[in-house]
Amino acid sequence: MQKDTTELVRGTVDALILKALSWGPRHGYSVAQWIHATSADALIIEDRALYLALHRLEEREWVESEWGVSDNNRRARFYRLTRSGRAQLRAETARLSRYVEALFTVLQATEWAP
Amino acid sequence: MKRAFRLTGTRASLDREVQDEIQFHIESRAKTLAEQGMEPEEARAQAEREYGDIHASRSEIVDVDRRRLYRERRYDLLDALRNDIALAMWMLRRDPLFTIVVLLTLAVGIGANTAIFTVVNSVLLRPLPYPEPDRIVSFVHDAPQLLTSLPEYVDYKQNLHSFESIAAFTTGEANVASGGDPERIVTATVTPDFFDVMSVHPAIGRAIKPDDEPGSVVVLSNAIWLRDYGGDPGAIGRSIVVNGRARSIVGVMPSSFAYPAPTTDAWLALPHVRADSLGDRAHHYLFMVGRLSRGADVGRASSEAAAYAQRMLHEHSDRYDPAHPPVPAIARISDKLTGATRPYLLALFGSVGFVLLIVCANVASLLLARGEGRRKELAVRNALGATRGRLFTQLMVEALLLSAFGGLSGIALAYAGVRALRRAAPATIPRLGDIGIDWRVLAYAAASSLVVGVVFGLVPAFRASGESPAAMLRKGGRSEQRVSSPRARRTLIVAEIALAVVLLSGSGMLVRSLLNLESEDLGFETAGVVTAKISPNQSSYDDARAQQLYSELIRRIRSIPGVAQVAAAGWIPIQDEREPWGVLAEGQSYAELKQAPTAVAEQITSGFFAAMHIQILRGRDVTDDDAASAPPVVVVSKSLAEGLWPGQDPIGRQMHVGGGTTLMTVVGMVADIRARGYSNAAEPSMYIPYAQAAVSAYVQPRTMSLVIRTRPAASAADIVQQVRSQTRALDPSIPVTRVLTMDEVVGGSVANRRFSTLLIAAFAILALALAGLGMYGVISYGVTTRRFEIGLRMALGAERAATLRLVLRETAVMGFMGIAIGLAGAAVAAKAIQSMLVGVPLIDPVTALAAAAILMLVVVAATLVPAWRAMTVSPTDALRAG
Repeated sequence: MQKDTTELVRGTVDALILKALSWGPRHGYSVAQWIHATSADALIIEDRALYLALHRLEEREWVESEWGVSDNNRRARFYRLTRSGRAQLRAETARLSRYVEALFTVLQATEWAP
Repeated sequence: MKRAFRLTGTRASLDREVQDEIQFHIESRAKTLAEQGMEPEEARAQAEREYGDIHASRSEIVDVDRRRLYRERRYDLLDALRNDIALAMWMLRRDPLFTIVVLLTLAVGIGANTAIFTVVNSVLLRPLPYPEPDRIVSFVHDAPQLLTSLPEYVDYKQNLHSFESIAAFTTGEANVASGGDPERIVTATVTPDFFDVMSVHPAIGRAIKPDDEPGSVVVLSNAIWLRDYGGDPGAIGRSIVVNGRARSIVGVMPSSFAYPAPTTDAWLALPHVRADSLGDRAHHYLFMVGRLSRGADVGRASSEAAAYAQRMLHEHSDRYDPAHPPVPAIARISDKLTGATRPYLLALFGSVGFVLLIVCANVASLLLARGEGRRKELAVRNALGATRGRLFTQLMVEALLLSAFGGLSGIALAYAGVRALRRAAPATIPRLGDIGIDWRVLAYAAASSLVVGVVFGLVPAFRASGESPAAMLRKGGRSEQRVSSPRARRTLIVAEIALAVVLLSGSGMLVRSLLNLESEDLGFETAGVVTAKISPNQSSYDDARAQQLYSELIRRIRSIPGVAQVAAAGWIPIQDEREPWGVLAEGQSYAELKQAPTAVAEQITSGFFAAMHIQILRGRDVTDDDAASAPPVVVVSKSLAEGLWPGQDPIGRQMHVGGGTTLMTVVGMVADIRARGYSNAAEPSMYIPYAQAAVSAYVQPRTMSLVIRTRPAASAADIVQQVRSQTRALDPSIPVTRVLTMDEVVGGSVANRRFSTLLIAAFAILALALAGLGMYGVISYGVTTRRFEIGLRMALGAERAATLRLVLRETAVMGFMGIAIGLAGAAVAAKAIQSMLVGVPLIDPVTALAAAAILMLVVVAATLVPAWRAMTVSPTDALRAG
């Protein structure tokens, strides 16, 4: 799987966002908070990149957005998964898991001979 | 595809939303930081730092959103279009009668247009099938010189830089002996660079090369190769006897090659040009064709040639007549070929244009009427939220769909029409074989369908979509603004009448011109005369033997029962052309050559005037006694007599041809004839006995044409059959060709004109019918929509007859208006076809009156039935239906 680093990063961000939305609609700040919290700050995503990813996901119709009211009565844009977004999340999860597993296997190898 | 969450609105609002979203994030983060203990300003600054470059972020996100917005709009448009088309198709199917009538009308209009465009495209627009045909020009001289001498050709060729190369050629006919019947073929004898100038080389074999022995090689045309050699490639190298000499076939030209004429059967080689034996500069016998150099055009070549001709005039002043200097005439060969036909074709194209306009008016009025009937439906849709723009679009889609299908049917009709045209068209139409439907014609049909659809769909769609729903749904549906208002109807009727008047009067003038032409007195009687060309081999007949041949042949033919008179002549008027020679009366001399009268010479045997029914005014015909050894005599035409001996009796006077010295005595005077055909002036002519032609008039021709006047009940075909067998009996190697009746000859001279005049007249009648039907429909509809008003009038006491008069008066007013506008238009049109009119003034009262009368009749006829129906309206019914 030869992909350049930006590509990989973007694909990963997409998967994280999709996962964040899998429990229901959220606004962008809420998604950012969840990712930070769940990964215990190990995964750092620039806010700017996050919002760009959100809009791109909407362009690809994996998420859809709607203006609504936040917890403290402020106007915010809420995103939710579409049906195809849910399918994409499943596919991405499987793909990344395989990738990580393969990576892990190679890096944990204890000897040269196969 | 469902589109639940759509981006709405404008680019500005997009930008605002993105800004709001980013601000929300920053403020939320700042709040969180503040809750953790940071100062508010510090928290905000920190949040902004964490976010990244806000400005850049805004633009990149807005880009993404904008892309999405446009894509969604495109989908919406496509969806809307698909819906409109589906709806339109359903509407058309729902009212099949309407659809069929409209499609038929459109098919006729677009089909006729496309068919005529096919002809215009093939003959006038498409370039000739030669490489760079615009650079190939014919190079001749103005009258009286006309042709070119060999020294002049060599000079032009060497000195004119506007030309890449110039070739010379002569045209003629030749006898071909091939074992079977002798044939007569059309030949062109060319210099070897002819094929380079044309840039077309033989499809098989090779062209004539400069080092070929002239007279030993020949290149055949595709047609004759197919006909006589069955398309066998082995014909190359075979021998063919042309004019008594065996020549080798070296090549066959491609089928599209048709220079100098489509009838050219073979190309022979001119004798080698040798600088020391160029011959007489004043002997003009060559045609020239040249290829312009790169960057030169006809104008430049003409000025260069004119300047050089002046130089020739000064350098060889003894060989030129200063009163008639050489004047080069250079023109593209495509222009020369199609130039004469162009006005006819353009007039045809204009006529079908008018027909198409009338078709548009008819369809527009049909759509207006239908729009009226759909008012409720459209009002409901409007009330349910369809904007006026959407309704308009949908109605335009309907109109365009109709015109698209109409266009397709039109193309099918055009295909059949073109085939019929090709068969019916006279052979004199240039490039007849090239006429066919190509991509340009299809593009034209598509474009005209589109334009037509917009033209007839615009106003009805506009009006139908513009109703206010409240007004529409009011009780009775009686709104002020109707879809099909009386004014719209009236405009359409007046327009159709005007268009029909223009077309009718234009075609009327052309018909009158044709009749004027054909009623001209040619000076001889064409009915009942058959001609045939006899071509003995030059090499096997000397003067005496030729005389014997013809006198014997004529004697035999005279004894055929169906033959009233027979004679032979050097050429047939109208079919052949001869240039006049200078003549001088004895005892009179002229200081300058240009004062000498000229006359066309015709070599005849006795009985020619009787056969042609040319009136002998004084003296006698030539007789068999006017033999070679007898005193030279001549019969002159009236205008020649008056030119040489004004006011005096020509009989007994003497004259000679300009370059000769033999004095001929005038023994008779005949009436003038129009030897060049209709609308050409009669030229002074002199008739020389065939046997004396060598003595009196340079040369005794070998090829002569028989002129046979047949008895009324006789069969021309049988007589021709006998002529052939008698000729064969005298000499089987002599071909008998160009067997035509004089009527065919004369008809051929006006064939193009007659063909296009008849077609235009047919289109005028079509236009009249379409306009009449259209008017009937509109007036009928008008009566129907005014039933309430008519019923009211009747209820208030008006008589039925008054209603009839009312309707008639209204349409009469429209008729007058339409006719007046039409006559004005007709005057403009007459200017456009001025060059084709013969004996008809630009403002022709006869045609104008006839057109006006016919249109008035049609208007009245179209009005009668609806008017009658108006009379029979029952007032109570009309008021109740209200």
